[in-house]
Amino acid sequence: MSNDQSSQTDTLSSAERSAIDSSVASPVILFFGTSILWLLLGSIFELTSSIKLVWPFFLDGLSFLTYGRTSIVSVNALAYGWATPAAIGIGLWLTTRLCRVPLAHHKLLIASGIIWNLGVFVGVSGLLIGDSTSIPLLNFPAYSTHILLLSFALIATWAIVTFFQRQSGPLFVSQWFLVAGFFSFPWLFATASQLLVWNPIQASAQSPIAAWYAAGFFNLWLVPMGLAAAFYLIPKSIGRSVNSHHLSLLAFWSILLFGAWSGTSRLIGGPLPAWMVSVGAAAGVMMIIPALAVALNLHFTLEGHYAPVAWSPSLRFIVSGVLFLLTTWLLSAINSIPSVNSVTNFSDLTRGLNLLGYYGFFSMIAFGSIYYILPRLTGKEWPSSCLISWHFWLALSGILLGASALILGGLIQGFALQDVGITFRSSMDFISPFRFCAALASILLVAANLGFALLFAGLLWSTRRSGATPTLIAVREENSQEPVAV
Amino acid sequence: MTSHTPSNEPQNGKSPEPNDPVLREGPEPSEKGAPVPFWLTILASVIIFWAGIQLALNSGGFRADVYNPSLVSWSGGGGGGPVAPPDPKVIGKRLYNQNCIVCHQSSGMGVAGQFPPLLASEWVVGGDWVGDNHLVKILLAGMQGPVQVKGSTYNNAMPPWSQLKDEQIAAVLTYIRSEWGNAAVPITADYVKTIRAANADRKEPWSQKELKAIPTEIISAGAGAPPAPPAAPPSPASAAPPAA
Repeated sequence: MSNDQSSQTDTLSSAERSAIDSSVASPVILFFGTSILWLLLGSIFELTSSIKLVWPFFLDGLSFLTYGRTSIVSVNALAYGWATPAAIGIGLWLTTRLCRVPLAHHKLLIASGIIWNLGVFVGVSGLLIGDSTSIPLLNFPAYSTHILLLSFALIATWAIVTFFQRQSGPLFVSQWFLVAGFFSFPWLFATASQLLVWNPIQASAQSPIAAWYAAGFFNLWLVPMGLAAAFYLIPKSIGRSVNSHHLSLLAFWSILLFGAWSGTSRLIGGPLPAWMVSVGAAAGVMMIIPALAVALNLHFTLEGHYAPVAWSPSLRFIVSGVLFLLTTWLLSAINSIPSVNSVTNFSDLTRGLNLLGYYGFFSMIAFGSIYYILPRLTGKEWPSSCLISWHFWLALSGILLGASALILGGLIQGFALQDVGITFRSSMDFISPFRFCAALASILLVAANLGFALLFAGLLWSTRRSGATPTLIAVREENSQEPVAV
Repeated sequence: MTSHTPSNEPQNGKSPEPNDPVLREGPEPSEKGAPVPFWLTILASVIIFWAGIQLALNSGGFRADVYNPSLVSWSGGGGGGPVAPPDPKVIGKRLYNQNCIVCHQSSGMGVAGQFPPLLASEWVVGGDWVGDNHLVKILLAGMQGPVQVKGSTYNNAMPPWSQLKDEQIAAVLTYIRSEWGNAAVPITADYVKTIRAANADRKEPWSQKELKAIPTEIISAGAGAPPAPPAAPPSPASAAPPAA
């Protein structure tokens, strides 16, 4: 990767962009559409489990809606039904745009999208009838993970083939992240499934592998795809260049080096050799480096040009997502210090960090990317700026309320669990008002997701062609020097 | 837009009109070469250094068998050193509690008239003609028929314990020879091994008469030592209680 990136010129005409977009339109819309359905379903299950934590008698007569099943259905439906297909859709569009080649044989990707959703459907049904494995994030029974891996092998192969046919010049930072993500996910998923689900190895070695997978799923799959979108869409929207190639390099390699290692820090006190936990703690603390590198690079890119964040839906969501990634990594770094981790390990604080990472970072970036991508694929504008605004504020307040309640409550719960003078029952009483707030936050998030689903359906079914003004969520100043950025 | 033929041939012969969102797009983004901020370089180095030190100090030398790094030195050696071999008396007590306690009781007193005592028994700590070899033989093959212990006659059967390993037999014998006030020298696993090898084909339990015919061996005094306990100077501790 040469340093001479600034000489890269824009060789892509509008007609070429149009041709590229129309070649990926149908698979990408399929991935986005199905992922939004799973997002709704997953967040409704998340709300159900949050209510059950506050009021255990809620829906207690139905075996398939017990807490043990609704909570893993929500996690897995959101991870494999929403986040992964959304990342695939964004990744496919970005790959073709950045490689400057139209997608060949898009029907193959439509087929693999259908297979993927079939796999998620089989997996979620398996969870509801009680067939789950005990491994976090790999709860899907073995008979569905084969389907998922087959489908993703097709998708990743196709993305990588497209990458090797690229017509672009020197690689742009988003392309590194895309290739890393498309290589990492099948590697992580196949390795963890083989060692934990299909052919389980001895029990003592399973928990570090599960922790490695969970960290890798976020840091090596969702983060690269989300950052690929952020590094493309932010400079593109405001019409500037990414500030520093060197900062991009630093961020990329530090994420790849430390990302998956950071998982084992949460196994503190577990039956594992001491070095495994220490390596996890060291890697978790070192994630401060990519956190600062990413945030600074994008900040220097946006500096003096923050105005469009006010009116551009995609920019507003993506910039919030990057800020939430910074928060997630900084808090996780503090949390991975052993003396902190031994207090917070079994508390709700972990749930709060997951909410910040999965919803605050990835879902916000995915929303922002879909707000940018979909008008280009369909040629229509978003139907309602008011609803977009509601979506943003509901999502933001849901994340902030939920994450702060779970993190503060988790600290109290952690100290209560540590204190031999406090019974377990009392520690549950301490956390219950915070869990009530978290359930309220879940309602806000369900409402936000519902708003987004309505917007998506409205865009697909509306007959309003673009050509009218783009949908902005705030008034753009008269005579503004900034581009429209949507 | 007049050209419908982009430089990359479109798939399926499609040549769509660019729509408005595409037309208002800016140029494809590129990267500038601004240097990494100096303070970030310093901060990153400090974080890596600190994390590396913490990793080195808390990893027990990356040994697979160290679960608590505070028990060994940072390089994995020193502090803890090699793990001390387990105390045979502790293992022996566990084995005794599992296997022997039903008949011989936790007090080692046995049950009067049924099961002979181990406390101060000449069969355990050595007596007129009873040696360590007899004790090991009884444990390996069992014993039945009338037997005199501390002046009383018992007539019962003791099962063989040859399924236990040499170390386990040595441990349980060492335990009964040092508990309840007994103070005979420990039985080693090597000695059990020798006796086991010498009696490999002995399957039926011993009787007192058979055992009496076998010459006495005392493990501490060597083969040629006099059998009488009071005359066993090399290990006065072992001789004291039975002599009393």
